[in-house]
Amino acid sequence: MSWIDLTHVVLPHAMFLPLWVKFSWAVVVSAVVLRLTYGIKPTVWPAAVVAVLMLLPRTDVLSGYLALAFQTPSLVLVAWGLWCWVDVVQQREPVVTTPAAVAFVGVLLGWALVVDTLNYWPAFSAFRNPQLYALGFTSAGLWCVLAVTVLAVLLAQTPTRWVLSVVGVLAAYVLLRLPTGNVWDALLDPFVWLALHVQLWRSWRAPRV
Amino acid sequence: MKTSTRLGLALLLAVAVCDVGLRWQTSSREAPVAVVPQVATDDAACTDYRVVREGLIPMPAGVPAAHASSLVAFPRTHPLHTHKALAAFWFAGTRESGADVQIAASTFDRERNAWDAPQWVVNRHVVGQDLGIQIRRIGNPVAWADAKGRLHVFVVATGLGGWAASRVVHLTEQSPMQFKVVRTLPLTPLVPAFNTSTLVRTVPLPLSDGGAVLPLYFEIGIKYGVAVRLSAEGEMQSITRITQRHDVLQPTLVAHSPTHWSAFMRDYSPTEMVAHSETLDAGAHWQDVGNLSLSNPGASIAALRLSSGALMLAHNPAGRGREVLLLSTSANQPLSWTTRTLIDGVKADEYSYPTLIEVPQSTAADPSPPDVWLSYTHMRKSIAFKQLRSACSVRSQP
Repeated sequence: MSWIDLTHVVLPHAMFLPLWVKFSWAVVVSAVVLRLTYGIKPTVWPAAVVAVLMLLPRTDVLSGYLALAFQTPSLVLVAWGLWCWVDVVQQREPVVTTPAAVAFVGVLLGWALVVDTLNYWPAFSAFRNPQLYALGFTSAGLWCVLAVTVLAVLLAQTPTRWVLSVVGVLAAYVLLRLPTGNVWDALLDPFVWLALHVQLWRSWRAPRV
Repeated sequence: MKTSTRLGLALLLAVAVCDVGLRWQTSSREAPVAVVPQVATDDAACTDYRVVREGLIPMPAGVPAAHASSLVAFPRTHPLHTHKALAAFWFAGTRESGADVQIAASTFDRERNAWDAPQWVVNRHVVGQDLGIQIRRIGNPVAWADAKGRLHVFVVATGLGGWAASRVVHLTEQSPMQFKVVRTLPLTPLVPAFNTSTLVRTVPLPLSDGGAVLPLYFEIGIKYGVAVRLSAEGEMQSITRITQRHDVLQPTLVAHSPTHWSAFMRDYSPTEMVAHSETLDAGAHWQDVGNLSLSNPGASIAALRLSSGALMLAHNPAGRGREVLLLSTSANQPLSWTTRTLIDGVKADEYSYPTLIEVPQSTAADPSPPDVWLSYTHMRKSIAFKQLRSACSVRSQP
């Protein structure tokens, strides 16, 4: 082992976890309600009521059932939920800020995690039986994410909001290790992954329309 | 370069530095290897064990079904060590996967030489309440004692979809035999699996730093073994897949030397042989090394490195399945198994899901080899046990 071990797992404090389940799902579900209802009638009350109900003690049944099926959302999805609220408060139209190249990397990462979870790495791989999910617990995983982010910032026209979001998400991950201690889980969940597929599909279709 | 870009890059650098700093605080200085007892020359030749006590572990009143037991010896630092030799944990209820299934436990009293009345350790409602998550069912418990003698129990808890959608919940002992839920272990990514389909079954392999390696397995459609390293306090330190196969599960670990370990696994393929994977670098890398010469009908197995240096394996044979329970022993290396029948039942009997541990014969410093304790599922109705003593030890006693 080296003089400083950067490969060991650092998990979120156990005390945070039940709170995180409630808070994260409250933000995400209320943002979904907000996006669905605000276009019909520009009021925040339905979404606010949902958020408060999900945060109140003894009314955590919905977040509990969501966690039963989906565990917890990623930090990226929670950041999306918070931006939805900020957009409404500041009376701005929602915008897509993720560069297409980053969306592509996110989609690829998700598929690589599928292969990793199913243990289907090619047998002829130079690195026999690579451990991609395990890499997400180490500093090396975080550095991969930072490298992609720096490249995106330097080479693409990245909106300030996207840079702010990435810094916020990664800072929350490093300081609190939410949601699982694994950087891939901080960035991707199936909802985010699906949204990245849709974004890529739309950006591919856009020039042809 | 814009000011906002420069600021963004500076903040990203700060994130990286912060990560290194926080990891520095929690990093371990010792490279963990397996605990391997020193072998006395006289003991090394002795692989003959005889049953000195056997029976059923008492069940909670009115509970008709039990399965998947785990044993743990009370270490010297545990408050109950003076009076209790070991504890058994298992799941019990109306039926496997029943909504009323709970984790039960019983301790073995040294003075009475008998099992104490069972107690409930945890149920799905308590697990769900502590985690803020609804839990459908709970199952397989695995017990372990950390460097300070505190017990930990790892329990399978299911999400939507039954056993294949299981997660592993970690509980720690707050006071003797009273447990509190800590967390769900993160074992598979949210994409694609929502951290599901990982289970525990077999006992951990102790490490020199007071930690352990907890064997687990993934089992939604394809099945493979996983090893999670635990720190001396029971915190998860790393996770490693231990096979490239897709048809093996429920690994059981033994250490041939501090860095050379084997994982023997339940076989889910038509081959019906005990699968074998090994590591030569204390769990950093694993490779499949074929099958043992022992058959396996897709049933859980238990392996143990004895203090004598020999290996012991409890298992069911292919052909007759779970109605027969076998005990095989082998020299450490090379593996060459000698098998004896422990239980020879009739069709529809079930003696399955064995667990093997060593427990010192007494609390005093004792040169006698430790006893081997075996627990297993008895007809899915209760948990049975056998206490085995080295024949060399028996001969040496007056």
